[in-house]
Amino acid sequence: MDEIMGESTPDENNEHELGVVWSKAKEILSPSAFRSLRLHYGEEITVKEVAIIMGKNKVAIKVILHRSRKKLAEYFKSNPIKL
Amino acid sequence: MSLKSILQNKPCDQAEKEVVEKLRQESKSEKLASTQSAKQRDEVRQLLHLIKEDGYPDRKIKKPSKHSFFYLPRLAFASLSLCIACFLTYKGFEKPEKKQIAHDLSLIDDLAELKFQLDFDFVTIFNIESSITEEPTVELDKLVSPIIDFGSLFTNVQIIPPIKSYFPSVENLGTPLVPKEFRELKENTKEGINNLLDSIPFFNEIFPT
Repeated sequence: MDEIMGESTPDENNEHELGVVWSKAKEILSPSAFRSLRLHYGEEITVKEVAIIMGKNKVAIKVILHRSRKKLAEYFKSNPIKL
Repeated sequence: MSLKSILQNKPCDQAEKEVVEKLRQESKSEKLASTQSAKQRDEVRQLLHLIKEDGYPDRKIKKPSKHSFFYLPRLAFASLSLCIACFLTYKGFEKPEKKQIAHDLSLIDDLAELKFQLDFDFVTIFNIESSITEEPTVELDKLVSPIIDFGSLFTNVQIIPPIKSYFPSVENLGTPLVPKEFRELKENTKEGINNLLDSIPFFNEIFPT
């Protein structure tokens, strides 16, 4: 199980596959925040399951997701992009 | 910061909604373009399956009712902690004469984050941007430590940095009581309460018996 539970998450090591927003998220967020965001919004895993994977409680994951959304929103407000 | 939006895990405003939309759109495009992604998703599902089976065998055992008597002390402790945090926020820290440069603004959100036991699903987050990390004006440590000690009987208490430095005497908090232990405690309630009252400084002076 340790092998699967390594530090990286799906797609995290495949930089070339990441879109513009995900690349920026990886750049400006901490690794654990990016991992939580990736699992929840990228892999559509529930908060409860993300909490199990990350070894945190549900509320901690919700706080991480909240801060990540806020940080990205602020970044894209000042640096608008077109998809 | 909207506590409701955090606990419901919903975007706070339009900008956040757009970010979430974009993240989801990009993920969908990536998944369509990559066959590897499906394989990786399967691995994640397998991992979750393993964790659920190996690590949390008792998770599905029925939870005690949140309205049971066992949860009342936790609720009381949570309320008390809220009062302490409010006190710390508005009274306990001296305001600077001049606006000082914050040491690390990114830590402000984390200043007062009280975590409670998983099954209680209760967390309070306080935004104390208006306060600074000065020494408390009163010896809160002496007043708060016994309360934290007592609270740790009912819930997991974690004092996080940088607040931790204000409570040096709070160390090695025990694990919370299980319901069976709690029932035993209840049987010795009188003695327990007396011990608690004795451990609160100045209590007898404030409320003479």
